[in-house]
Amino acid sequence: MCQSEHKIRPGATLNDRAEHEKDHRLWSRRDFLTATGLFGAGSFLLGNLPVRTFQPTPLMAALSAAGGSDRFLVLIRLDGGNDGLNTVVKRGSSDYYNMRPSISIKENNMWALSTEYGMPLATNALQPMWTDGMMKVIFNVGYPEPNLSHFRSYDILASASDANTVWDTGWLGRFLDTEYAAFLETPPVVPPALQIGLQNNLVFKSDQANMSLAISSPQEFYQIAQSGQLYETASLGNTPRELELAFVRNTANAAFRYSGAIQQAYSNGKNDVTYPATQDNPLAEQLAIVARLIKGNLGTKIFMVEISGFDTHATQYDLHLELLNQVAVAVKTFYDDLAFGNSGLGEKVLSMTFSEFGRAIFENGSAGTDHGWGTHMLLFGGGIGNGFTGQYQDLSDPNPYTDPPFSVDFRSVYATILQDWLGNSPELVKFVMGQQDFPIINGLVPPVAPSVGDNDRCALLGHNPHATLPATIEIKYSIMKEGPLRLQILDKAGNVLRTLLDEYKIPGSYIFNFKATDWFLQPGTYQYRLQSGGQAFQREIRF
Amino acid sequence: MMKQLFKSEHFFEEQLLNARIKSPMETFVPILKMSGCVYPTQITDNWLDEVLYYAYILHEELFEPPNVSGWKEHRPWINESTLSLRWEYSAKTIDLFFQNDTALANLVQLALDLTNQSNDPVVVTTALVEFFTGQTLDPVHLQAAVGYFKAGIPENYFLDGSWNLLWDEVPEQIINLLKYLIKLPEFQLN
Repeated sequence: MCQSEHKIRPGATLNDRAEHEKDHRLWSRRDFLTATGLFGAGSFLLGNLPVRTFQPTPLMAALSAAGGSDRFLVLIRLDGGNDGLNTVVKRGSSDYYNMRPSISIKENNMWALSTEYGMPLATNALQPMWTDGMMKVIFNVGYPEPNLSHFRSYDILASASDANTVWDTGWLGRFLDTEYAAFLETPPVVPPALQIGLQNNLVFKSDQANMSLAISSPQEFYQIAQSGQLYETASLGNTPRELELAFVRNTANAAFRYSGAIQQAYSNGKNDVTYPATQDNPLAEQLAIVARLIKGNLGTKIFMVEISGFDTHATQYDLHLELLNQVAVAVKTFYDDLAFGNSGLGEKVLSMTFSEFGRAIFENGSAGTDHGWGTHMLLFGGGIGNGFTGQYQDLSDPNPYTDPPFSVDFRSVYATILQDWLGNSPELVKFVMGQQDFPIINGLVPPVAPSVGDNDRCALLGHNPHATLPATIEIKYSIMKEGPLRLQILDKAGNVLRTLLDEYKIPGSYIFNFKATDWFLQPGTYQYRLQSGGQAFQREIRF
Repeated sequence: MMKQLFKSEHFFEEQLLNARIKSPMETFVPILKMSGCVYPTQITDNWLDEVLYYAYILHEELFEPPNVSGWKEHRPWINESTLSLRWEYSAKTIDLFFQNDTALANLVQLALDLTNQSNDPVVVTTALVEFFTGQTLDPVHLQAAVGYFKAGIPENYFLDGSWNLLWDEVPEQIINLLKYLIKLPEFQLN
């Protein structure tokens, strides 16, 4: 049963791994550039995230309001395989009660979503969100040929691959890669994504890097947020070991570039409502941190938090209800906090639960359920409306050996979020989803049009001949957020020929007077490229 | 000569005080050797090429000291640039394990031997931390280390005792843990 699933991890065999890791060993130009330590800076890994080292400085400007770039996405991972059938219950179904004699949710233990469906009373904190149009249910989400191994199925959900294909990048990693094409060359001072609690998460992995800052626990977060430092040194004494440990810690602190932004946002932000105590609801604490960082204008748009324990093979009833209660209370408190003072922030934050699979429709002999196929997803957000998408599992003709087929492919949900919520073009969405088309679920979330040029970090404005200086071209650009910047001339194939600028810049508009002969370049057609804040812009230039 | 080098105890001198900053080679090589990997069957010439390259980038070209007085030891090894590169290259060194089944099996055997086949992830993590760093961690970082070791396996498998060191996932769990340990300042001390 469950034991056998752990032996089978298709696509994660050692052979695959060896091939996969061999690619990473091949030395690339980028490795060499990194190794030469430009500006005396190297790259640093915290939670697999390479970041450059520069002097820490306070966070700067507010969020751009262009397109979808003022919207946030929070992923709530329900770790272990959430039982959808007991989360959103089909009311009055004799089939349901027959298949689950001891663990089914009774009518008098539910609150009504509609005449047909209800949720356990343990989740009634969500009732006002449903009534106020802040919650949606997507029934029976899955994918073809589902895999019932925790790891493999999670990787499928994280990478958005087909069941029989192994991808080593995540859907949000690929998306953030398009936003931060120059992530390694000119890293942003704000993490593109932030996750609490789950390490080495495939979701945010891209070909360049893991695009998220992974913080293993709230305690680790507070250390950074409150002190501005990754490691404390005050408690270390004067023994030789402690002195050397302090030295290394101080170096690590200097190397961690996000600490300034996090500390600033933590100090600017505030939790305006009371969250449940951590020991009663660890998810609530994670969401409290997310709320505080959003309200404090960190600038990170994508977050991931998690709650584990959903692998309810035995004595499911009370365990599962307790977990659902924690989710309901944590989410409600989170949105109350965001909305505090009529801020309107609740309308800008979309939260999505997801789980690697569901549970079987029949209960097992241990008053629990085993791994099953589809499970329901819940979406939360101010102004998204309420309602159902997809089809509930058909319980009328159950086969004890298989589950009803899924009704919504999870990748449609992802595509809809990328396109409608985050405001991206269909072409980009298709690229992020691995060059496959997944139907958009119209009306799932309020759509926003793609912004024309996402210029919240920098903009390459263009060039023109200098009015007076001979054979000189003015290259104009603007920086909205400080950080490292590069301006380079490339050949038509994209090879870097000259680096005009490679320095740390503060926000402002700049002109670079470019004279080709000073750089020993022959007349011709070239490209020039601006990299800053992890973004890259490129134009053609002729001289 | 390589054989002699790796048979020698040079990299494993007892440093009772853990008050000396490792040289680059001391950062990378012991990860491989302490796990039981041997030259040339697991620690191949390919592997050595990799590790030597990393050390070269970090200014320790083996057998090529900068001048007759040798390498400057200790704190000059560490600055913001070299420290972050150490993390990156230590992680790449650890990735080498994936190329060799015996190397991965060595890691598992190490955990089994150190803990007498414990199926308590905290016990296993603590033992591996102490083995690879020679030090104990403060509670916050130990908790993080245990989290990395558990590597996303649902908690119930630890609580009900069904997880053990013979699971297929264990090599990856140990590697997950190692990749966390190498980033800790404690790991730079010898």
